[in-house]
Amino acid sequence: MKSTITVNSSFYNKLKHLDKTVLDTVKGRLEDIARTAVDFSPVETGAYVTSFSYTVGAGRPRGKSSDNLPKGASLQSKRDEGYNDLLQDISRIKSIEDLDNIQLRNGSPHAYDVEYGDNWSRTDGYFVFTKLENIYG
Amino acid sequence: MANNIYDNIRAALETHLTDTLVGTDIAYENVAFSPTTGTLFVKPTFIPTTTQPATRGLNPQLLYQGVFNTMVHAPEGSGPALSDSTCNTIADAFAATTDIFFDIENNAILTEALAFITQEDGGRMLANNVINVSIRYAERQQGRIDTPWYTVPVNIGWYVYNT
Repeated sequence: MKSTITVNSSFYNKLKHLDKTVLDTVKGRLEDIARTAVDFSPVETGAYVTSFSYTVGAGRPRGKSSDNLPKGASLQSKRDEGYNDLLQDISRIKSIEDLDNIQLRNGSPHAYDVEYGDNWSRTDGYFVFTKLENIYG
Repeated sequence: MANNIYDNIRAALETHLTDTLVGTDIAYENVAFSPTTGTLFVKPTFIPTTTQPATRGLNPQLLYQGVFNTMVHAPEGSGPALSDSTCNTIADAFAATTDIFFDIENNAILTEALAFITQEDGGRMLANNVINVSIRYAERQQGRIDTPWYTVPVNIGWYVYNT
């Protein structure tokens, strides 16, 4: 015995619409996290704040060293640069499958120092990822 | 007696830590501390993150939340056992769902029985001048060398509802 069921094409359209809604919601959340991450970040040379990446598919994460960079970089322009980099990563998310494994990373060699104040005798850490996890985790 | 919600939350968390780590050196924030080489110490940091209305409407109760970071410093080269033991003690004392009842007037931790007043209808409410700091999570992170120390962070997520 055999029967054939035909699914109305509007059903697929509704599924597509649901996918888009979910994707837009998640992307909005990722933008919020990106904004918070750069706002919590200290800026001296700008190396740390411009080393954030969302890992989407292949590609090497950003990671800049502060060695040999001049201090006194513009706080707002460096934060905007870091935020725009993250927006670029988010724009590469095209489907729900791309969200299977997405991570926020900071690839600067001094990322741990910024987080916990390691190797700094006068300044405590900034706990950037610790705060992000608390707010969005 | 502290007079601000954050002062009270900090006092509750630090007092609970002090009661938990009897005999261990603690380097409180902005207090002069000279670590003794070769002796373990713990450095707590109080990190408020957000304050937001817990409900809609006028004059809502507020939800305060944040992190209490405790950085365990063990002597470099002494192996992980010493820091592991201290991290476990902290994580157990601040395990998820733990409630810390703090008597603001007397700067002391209370038991749950002493923290509440039973009402005529059988219900109960927090006694005056008592704050309840609830623990959402206690997570131990990866250890690293920060010469001459081996440091391991334990992040404790806390929240408080208050008017």
